[in-house]
Amino acid sequence: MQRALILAIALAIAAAPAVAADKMRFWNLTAAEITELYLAPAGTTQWSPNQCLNDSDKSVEADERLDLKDIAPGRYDVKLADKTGRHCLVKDVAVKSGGKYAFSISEKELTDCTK
Amino acid sequence: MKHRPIFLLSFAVVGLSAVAARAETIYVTNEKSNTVSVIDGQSLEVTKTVDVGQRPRGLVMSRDNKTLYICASDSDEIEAIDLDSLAVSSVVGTPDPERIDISPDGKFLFASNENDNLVSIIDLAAHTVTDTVPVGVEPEGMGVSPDGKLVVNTSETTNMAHVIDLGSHKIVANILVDPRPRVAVWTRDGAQVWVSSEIGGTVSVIDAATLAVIKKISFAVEGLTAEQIQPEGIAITPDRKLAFVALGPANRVAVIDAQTYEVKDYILVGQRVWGITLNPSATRLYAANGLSNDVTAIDVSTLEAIKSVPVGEEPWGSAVRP
Repeated sequence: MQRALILAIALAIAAAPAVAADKMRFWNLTAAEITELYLAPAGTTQWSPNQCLNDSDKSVEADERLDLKDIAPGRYDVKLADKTGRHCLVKDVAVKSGGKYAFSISEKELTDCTK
Repeated sequence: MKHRPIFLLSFAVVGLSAVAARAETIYVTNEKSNTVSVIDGQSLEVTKTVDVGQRPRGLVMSRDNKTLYICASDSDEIEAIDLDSLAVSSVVGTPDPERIDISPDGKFLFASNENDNLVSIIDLAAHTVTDTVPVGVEPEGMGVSPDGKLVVNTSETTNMAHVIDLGSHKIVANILVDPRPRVAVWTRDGAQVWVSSEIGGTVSVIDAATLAVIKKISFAVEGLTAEQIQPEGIAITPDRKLAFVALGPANRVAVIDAQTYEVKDYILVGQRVWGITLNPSATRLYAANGLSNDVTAIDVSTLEAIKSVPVGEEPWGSAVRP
């Protein structure tokens, strides 16, 4: 019993850093402040809630990061709107766990936009 | 014949100037490619690229110009580059450091820890964080006063410049500035601190004696909206005659008369200009352009861009070794 308890504690300690490292964040490498950001599993229209609402000022500035909620690692289509009035779609983005950020979008990836 | 000594002297002066120009080296942190680009000051070409930790951003030269300290933000550490060998080593672990400055005696670094709302004080000889000072939300700008008595930190979300007494390690003043303050730079005479506000679109000039804002400088570029003008990096000539402010997505560097606070000119540079640095002789300004992946070299005497130097991905800022 005691051995099981020690093992459980050891496993919990070992798991803690992994949980912390798995925090999912988006890195805005575009030129503009993003005000709306939605993710849907690639090829679907099952859009997540606006992830920008997770931020204290409800937007993510250029070069800043944003916490993602209820997003698992995988491949996603990403829909965004920014302060310049652009609405853009970026398809089939790899969203990864385990790093300091899950995915980034840079200006050169914004090829499918309307204004 | 009698003119020969003058001719020889002129030749020697030209030679010395060439040596001085050749000796200058610029180091640029590239936050996406996790490298530091090394640029020769004479040819304005990248001569080497150094792999460093993840997301290198803030950087500062040691007082003896032998070591470059950089914030490897995603590696959660401050790293040192030996500038003769270009060997990289860890100075100390500290969470998500974004910007650093160095004490006048070169013994301490002061780092903003963006995610932890702290300023860390780092003993370089002991390789330890000796103290932390709680500040506002998302601390960024770090500026040590020339006399080494104060450090000014800006917090992006709290919209304040926090003045920390380096004797007591306590905040002695919180100065409200315009939204999203980024950078704090002291004038060489220690009389003023200039703070840029990215969202506010202004630079606040703070009087060091009263710790009060005495002037707010605004910018207007023909053809651009106010939202496109986002002040970031600041550089001030040692004689406080000129100041330069990077305007982010406006793709321009503003030139300001630092005595009258009048904006004299706007210099077109690369995309989303961020960190700007004067060389020690204040003859050149180097501007890191985050989206066009280049650095613009500007001649301070003519206020003209002289060359755009391609570097790594997402260049953040630079430091110059004389």
